[in-house]
Amino acid sequence: MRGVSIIGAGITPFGVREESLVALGAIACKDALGDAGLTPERIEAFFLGNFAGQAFVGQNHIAPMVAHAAGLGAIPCTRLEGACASGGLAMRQGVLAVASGQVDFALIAGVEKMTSAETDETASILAAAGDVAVEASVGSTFPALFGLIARRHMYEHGTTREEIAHVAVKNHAHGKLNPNAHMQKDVTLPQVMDAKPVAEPLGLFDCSLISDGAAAVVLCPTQMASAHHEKPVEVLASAQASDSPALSDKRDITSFYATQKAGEEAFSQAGLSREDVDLAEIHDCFTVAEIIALEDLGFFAKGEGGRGALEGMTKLGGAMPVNTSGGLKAKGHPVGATGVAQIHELTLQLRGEARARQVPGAEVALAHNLGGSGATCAVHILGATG
Amino acid sequence: METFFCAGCGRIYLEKSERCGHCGGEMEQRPASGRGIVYSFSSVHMGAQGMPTPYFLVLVELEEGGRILARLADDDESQPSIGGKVVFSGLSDTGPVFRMF
Repeated sequence: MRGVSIIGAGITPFGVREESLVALGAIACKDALGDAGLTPERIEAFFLGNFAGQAFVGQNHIAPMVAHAAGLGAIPCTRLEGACASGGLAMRQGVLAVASGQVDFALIAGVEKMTSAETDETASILAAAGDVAVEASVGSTFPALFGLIARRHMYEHGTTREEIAHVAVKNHAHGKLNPNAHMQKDVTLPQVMDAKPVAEPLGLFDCSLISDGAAAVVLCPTQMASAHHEKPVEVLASAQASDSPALSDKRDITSFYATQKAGEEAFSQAGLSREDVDLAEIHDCFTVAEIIALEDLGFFAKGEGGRGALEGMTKLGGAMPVNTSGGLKAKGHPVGATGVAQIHELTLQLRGEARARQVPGAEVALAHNLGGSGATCAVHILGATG
Repeated sequence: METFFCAGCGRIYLEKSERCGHCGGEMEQRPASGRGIVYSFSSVHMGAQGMPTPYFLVLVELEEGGRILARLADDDESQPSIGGKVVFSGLSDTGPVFRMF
């Protein structure tokens, strides 16, 4: 297997967008190709993350549609679906295609258009990322599953409501610095703590945003990368693991086994330790999910993850900033786009192009993308070059 | 109360079926006390499409082992707590229902 690098990154602003699902994908692809200085016909394979095009806007089979709209040739176009990890899976398939020597230039994108559906309809569509037969049928939504998880985490590990709420305060503070974020404003601790309850103990500000948006990156072999971009970003690890989505099947609902497995595999591939990571994009679909992921990835001991945001360690300026983009919480969570948007943010950071939210001297960064209630996890570790 | 246990994947069902809905394994019928404890719970205020809110979801750990996601009975006004005792009260359109006791 050969080394793979990112030579282009593109994104649309996240939020309520007028463009169609396909057009959003095409815009991000063209942005990434422009950044790589490549014409569309140079791309040899296209991988697209999308969760629920059919359910949200009545359109399936969108990989060749986005490819056509972006001007790609008659190349293999493949859609990946792994709930909220769809984008991470697309990234991993692209990395494998280039690493194996199958292709030299691969385009990866992720897209979702969610805001045209009503909120309760969206809740039901998202609930199908869990085990419908034993969860959605009983009335569980994703906020409800993470409400159950949060309650148990508080009970077992002493995590406080305040620690959980601090994740939202931090990620909104970061999102305010990201011109592509869906919500670019601060929220205060009392606003989060006293917000309208959604699924207790979680309230409105503990939940990620329902957004439209797309992101894309261009990959090529590392040995060719410097000819295409002055600051290529190297993919140091690409790992994926799985578990049952149903909470009732899990021995421990305060950890996600798929995250632990994918994290271990990623650090092993990269030959790096936790201390080497300068910043991370972590899948904060709900505030408590960021805390759990930080524990599962080994950045904090079990039950200590709440200290990250509370004590400022994961804030810009802290020891390891987490979700400088604003995360799913403030940047927004167009489900299929999220995994690729994380890679986009880290690419900017490792090139030193993240402006007001730049982590000084960032050299190693980790992306954690979780599907549903932990049934799929993709972890990527990226490194700056030069 | 009877439970239906899949020897293949360990899932527990309260409704009889020939095969496990998850893995297709063969089901074993087992008597159960219907008692369990609350493993976790959440009061749902913004629910799924067509489901009136609020309602309590409880993840129940059955006395005989295994966990089931269920509703707390709508007319049960007691506040659940982790470790609190619950008892099976019946099946509804939304699956199993338990009560605090």
